[in-house]
Amino acid sequence: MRTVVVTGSAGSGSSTVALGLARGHVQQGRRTVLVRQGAASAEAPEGGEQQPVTRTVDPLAWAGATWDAAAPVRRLLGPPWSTLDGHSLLPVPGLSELSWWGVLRQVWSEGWDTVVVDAGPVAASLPWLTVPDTAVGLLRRTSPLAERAGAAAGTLEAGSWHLRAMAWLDSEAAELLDTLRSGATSVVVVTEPNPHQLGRALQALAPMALFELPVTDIVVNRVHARRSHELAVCDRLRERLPDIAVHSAAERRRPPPPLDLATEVWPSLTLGPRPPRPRVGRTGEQFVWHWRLPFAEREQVAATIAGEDMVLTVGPARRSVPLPSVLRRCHLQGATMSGPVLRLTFLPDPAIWPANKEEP
Amino acid sequence: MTDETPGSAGEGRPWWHGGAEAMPDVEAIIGPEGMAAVGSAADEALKLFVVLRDRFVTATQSDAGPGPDAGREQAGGESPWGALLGQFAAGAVKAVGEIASAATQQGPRSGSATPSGSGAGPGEAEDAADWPVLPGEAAACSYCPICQAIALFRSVPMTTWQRLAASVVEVADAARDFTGGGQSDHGGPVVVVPQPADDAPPAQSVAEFLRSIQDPPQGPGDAAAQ
Repeated sequence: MRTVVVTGSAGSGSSTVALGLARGHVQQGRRTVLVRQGAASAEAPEGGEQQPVTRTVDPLAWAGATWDAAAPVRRLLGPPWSTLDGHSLLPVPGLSELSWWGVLRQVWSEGWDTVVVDAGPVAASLPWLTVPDTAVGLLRRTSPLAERAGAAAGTLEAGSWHLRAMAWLDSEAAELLDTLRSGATSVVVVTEPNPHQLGRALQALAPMALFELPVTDIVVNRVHARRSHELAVCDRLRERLPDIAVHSAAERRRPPPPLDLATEVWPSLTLGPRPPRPRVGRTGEQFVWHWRLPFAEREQVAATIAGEDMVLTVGPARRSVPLPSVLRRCHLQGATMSGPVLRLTFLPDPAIWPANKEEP
Repeated sequence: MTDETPGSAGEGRPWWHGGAEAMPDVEAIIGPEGMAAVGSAADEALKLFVVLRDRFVTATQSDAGPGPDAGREQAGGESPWGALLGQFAAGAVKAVGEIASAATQQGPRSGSATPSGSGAGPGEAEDAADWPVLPGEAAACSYCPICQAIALFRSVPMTTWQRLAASVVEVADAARDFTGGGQSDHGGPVVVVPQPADDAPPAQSVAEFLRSIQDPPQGPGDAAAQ
């Protein structure tokens, strides 16, 4: 199963690109579903000829359906939980993010060949794309290691229902993360060559790299064929982002209907290779953790260690990453930015490092 | 299957359980007066070793020709352990060849590979077609710890082994954490801000990148496009 998440700067045509990708996969004979935000009434249950099946993300509708499905459990709790109807639920913070993952989890279990996600603007898609990682990091830092081991081994006591619930939540979020970061998932960023749109899209690359979202392609949409500086934008992007495939789509004086544009242009779009993941290397006595953060500004990057985790901050985004085993026995010595690469330097802790420990 | 044990017709045993003489009756295994054909894991391991040794000695002797000291002579006057190792290697090759050959032919066992006699009676041809009997399938195997262990290992799916192999690194890390005396305190809660590297140009921000593309060389089509 291939999953393509299409996002971009607002108004750049990311929905058109997503629809075009979905139609391209349908033309290749693959069972394709398009997931997008919208009212549940707009959902098309059956894809027509050359049309992908559509699933919509409607937070209130999803919450109501989930609430009604949990009726047996709510009856055990009694009023008011048992009497509250799903149609009377109110939107609460976080519901939109959860509804995306609820719909995606359902779609991923249906066995489609291709899942195309029209995630909308990056300002709206980044919060829900980072929810599973944030949840796993939060659970990891708030649950003691012994409790997590007990939950994994199934040896928790009968009364520790909250630990079981946390273990279930942890496994669900980890499963979503596995799917999101597997080699079968790609993130496509759509932008336009004008500075306003381009700036918004490029500013999202560093947070996406921080959360290891597999950005494989950038589509520069509506490039005027006779404006050389717009064509040059694609070349400059290719120079700056060698790990990401950069595509350009031509501007048209009379934009044709979206479906025609999708049919003509986007089936030829091939997704690029998976970007490299953070890695640990050794230089002399030091261990260096390499993070590639495109367009990250050095002044907005900070790192600290909290328990078994490294907390990395890049602008407004912050992530808690489990330290690799070898770095858990080291001091964080410093960090340098070399181009887009952040290098975190660690030195072995002399108090517990095995080689030094044997010395008298 | 050529099983002479009463009440267990059609049930075979792994060859290390010996022939019919060594384990004549399944009932005797559990009977208070019976022969202790199946014992503890240590007993079974010892029995397995003895049968292996006997089989390898027999195989080596048959290769080297008749004579009670053929195996020792073949070892060339080495130490007894060296001779035993030589016999072990030669016998293992022969035993594997015999088993593979018998499995290919789908026929009754013969020679030293026959664990429970060679007299195939009427109505046992279908049983013989099931040979080799896998460890754990015979009735006597339900009392044998080695057979049960082998059957248990065989029942584990291959994907489970693959997952275990993939988690070896994690297990090693956990073991190293355990034996390494715990984790470092990392020098306390320190917030590290990256410094510019000396050997590389500074990172280009989005604003700098946008400024760099806003001053492009004017092409011939730019004026017309405006």
